Amino acid sequence: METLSLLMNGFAVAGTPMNLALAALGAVVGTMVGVLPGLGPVNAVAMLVPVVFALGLPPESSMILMAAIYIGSEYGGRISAILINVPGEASAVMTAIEGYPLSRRGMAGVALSLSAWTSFVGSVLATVGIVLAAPVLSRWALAFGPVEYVALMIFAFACLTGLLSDQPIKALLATGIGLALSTIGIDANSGVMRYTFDMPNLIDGLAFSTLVIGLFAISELLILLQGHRDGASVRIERMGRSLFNLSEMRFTFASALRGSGIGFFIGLLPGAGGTVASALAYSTERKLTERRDPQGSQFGQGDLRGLATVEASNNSASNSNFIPMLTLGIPSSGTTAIMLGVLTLYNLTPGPMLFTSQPELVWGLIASLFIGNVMLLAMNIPLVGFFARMLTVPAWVLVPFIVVVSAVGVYSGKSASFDLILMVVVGVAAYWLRRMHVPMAPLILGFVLGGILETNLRRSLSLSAGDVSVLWSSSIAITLWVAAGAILLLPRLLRRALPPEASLAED
Amino acid sequence: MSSNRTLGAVALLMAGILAVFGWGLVAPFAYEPVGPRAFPMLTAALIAFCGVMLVIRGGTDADAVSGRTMTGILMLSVTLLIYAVVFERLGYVPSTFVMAGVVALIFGASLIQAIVSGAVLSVGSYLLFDHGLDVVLPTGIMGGLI
Repeated sequence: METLSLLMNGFAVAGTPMNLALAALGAVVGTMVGVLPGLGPVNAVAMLVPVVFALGLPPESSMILMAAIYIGSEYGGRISAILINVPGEASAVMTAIEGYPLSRRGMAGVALSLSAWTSFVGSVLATVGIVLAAPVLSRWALAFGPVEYVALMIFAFACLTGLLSDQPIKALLATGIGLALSTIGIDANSGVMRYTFDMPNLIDGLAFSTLVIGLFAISELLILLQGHRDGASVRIERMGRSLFNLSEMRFTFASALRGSGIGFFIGLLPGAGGTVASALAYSTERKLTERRDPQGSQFGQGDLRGLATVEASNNSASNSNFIPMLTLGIPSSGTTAIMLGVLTLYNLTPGPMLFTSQPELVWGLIASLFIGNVMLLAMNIPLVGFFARMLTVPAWVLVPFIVVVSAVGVYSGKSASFDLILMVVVGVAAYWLRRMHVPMAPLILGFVLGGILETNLRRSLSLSAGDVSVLWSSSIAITLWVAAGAILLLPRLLRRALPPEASLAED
Repeated sequence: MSSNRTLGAVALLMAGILAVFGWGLVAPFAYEPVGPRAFPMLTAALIAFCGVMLVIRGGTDADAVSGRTMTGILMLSVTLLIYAVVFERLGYVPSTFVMAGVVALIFGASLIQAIVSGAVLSVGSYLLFDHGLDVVLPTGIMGGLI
C-alpha cells in the first residue's frame, strides 16, 4: 500500500489551488490547440518552455501544466475531426473516418459526447496502469548502469525510427541532426569548445527553448501558410442531440475497453503514440465486428464502436506514454521529449531516480492526470460549441499572435537578438526538412538525449578502459540491442496490418 | 535534381562540416579513453550514411507547392527574419506592429484588418508582458513613451 500513500501525497501536490488552476488552464489550452488543425500539443508546449521559467513555476507545476495540454489536445483533436472531417491532430485521423459520417447524419452531438466519454475511459484506465506499472519499472530501471543506458537509448532511437516514420532513413537522419546539435557548446568533461565558431552565444550550447520554438512553432506557421493557400473554407455540421444515451454507452463499452488496452501497450513503446495506437485499435475493431456481426457493421459510414475504440486508444496511449518517460527517462513523443528537456533545465536528471529523489513531482504529475481527465470530460461535453468556434478564428489573427508569443518567449530567456535570429533560421530550416518528410520528433529526441547518451557512452568506455565490447556485456544490454534490431524490422510487418494512411505519424 | 537527392546532398554537406570542424577537437589533457571528438565523429558518420542512402535512392516526396505559395513562404520567412533583426534596435512595439501587419496581409487580411490587428496586438501584448508579467522588452525608438 506504499503506492497508495504516495499517490495520496501526489493528490495533495496536484490539489493545491495553483496546480489545480494550471491543470485547468492546460486543459483549456490543450483542447484549443487540439481543435486547430496544424497546431498541436507539441507547438503549445514548445511555446510554454520559456514562459514557465519567466513565471518562476516549480518543476512539478510546469509538468502538470504541460501534461494537461498534452492530454487535452487529444480531446480537442477529435472535435475538428468529427465536425469538419479535418483531424486536429495526427492521432485523430481515424476519428474522422467514423466520426464525420456520423455528423453528416445529424449525430454530431452524440459522436462528440460519446467520444469524450470513451476518451475519458481510455485515459483513466491508462493512468491506473501508470500507477501500477511505473513504480515496478522504476525499481527495475535502478539496476541500469551507463552500459544499459547506452543500449536503452539506442533502443529508443530504433523505436522512433522504426515505428514513427514510413521512411526510416529520414527518421534516422533527423536523429543524427538532433545528436549533432546537442554537441554544440563546451564539452563538460574536457572543457573543449565544440562547434561554437567563436560565438559567445553558443558556449552554453543551443538554448533548448530557442530550438524547440523554432522547430515546432515557427516551422508550423510556414506549414500553415502552405495549407492556407491551398485550403478550403470551414463548414460545420449541425450538432443534433447533444448527449449519448445509455444504450449507446452499453453498445460501445466493450470497444472502448479494447481500445484502451491496445492504446496502453502501444503507448509504452518509445516513438509509438496515439497515431499508431488508434490505427491498430481501429483495424482490430473493424475486423472483429465484421466477423461477429457482418449485418450490423456500419464501419466507414459512421459506426459508434469504431469511434469509441479509436478515441479510447489514442487517449490511453498518450497517457501511458508517461511510463517510459518517467521510469526510463525516454520520451515517446515530441511533446514528452520537450517535457524531459524542461526537467533537465531544472537540473533534474530524467530517469528512475526521479521516483526516489522527486516523489512530489512524479506522483503529483500522475495525480494531475486523473484530475486533468476529469476536468476535460466535464469541460468537453458542455463546452464543445465554444471549442468548435475556435475553427472560425481567421489565420491572420492567429499567426501574428503565435509569432509574438514565440518571440517574447525566446527573448525573455537571454534577452539576445542572437536567439531570435536563431529561432527564425531553425524554423525555416525545419520547414524545409518537414516538406521533405523528415520527422521532427526524432530530431528533438536526439537533441534531448544526445548529452545523456554521450556521457553514458564515455563513462562506459572509461570503466572498461576503452574496450568497446563492454557495451554488450550485460544481459539487459544484450536484450535491448536485440530488441532494437527487432523493432527496425517490425514496421515492415506492421505496415501490412495497418491502413496506409496511418504509417506517417508525428505527434 | 530530385528532392531526396537534394536532402541527401545537404546531409553529406552537414556531415562534412561536422567532420572538418570536429577533427581538431582534442582535449589538451586526456583523463579518459574517449575524448570530445569521438561522439561528433560518430554522429557525422550516421548523417553521412543517411546522406549516401538518400542520394542513391533518389525520388521525390516533397509536397508540390504552387509558385504563389512559394512566394508567400519566402515573404513570411523574410518578414520573420527582419523582425528578429530589428526587434531590439527598433523596439518591441514598432517592430511587432509592422511584423503583425505584414503577416496578417500574407495570410489574407485586408489592409484595415492588418493595421488594426497589428496595433492591438503590439500594444496589447506589450502591456501584458512588460507591465503585467514583468518580462522586460526592448523599448527601442519609442523609449519612454509607454
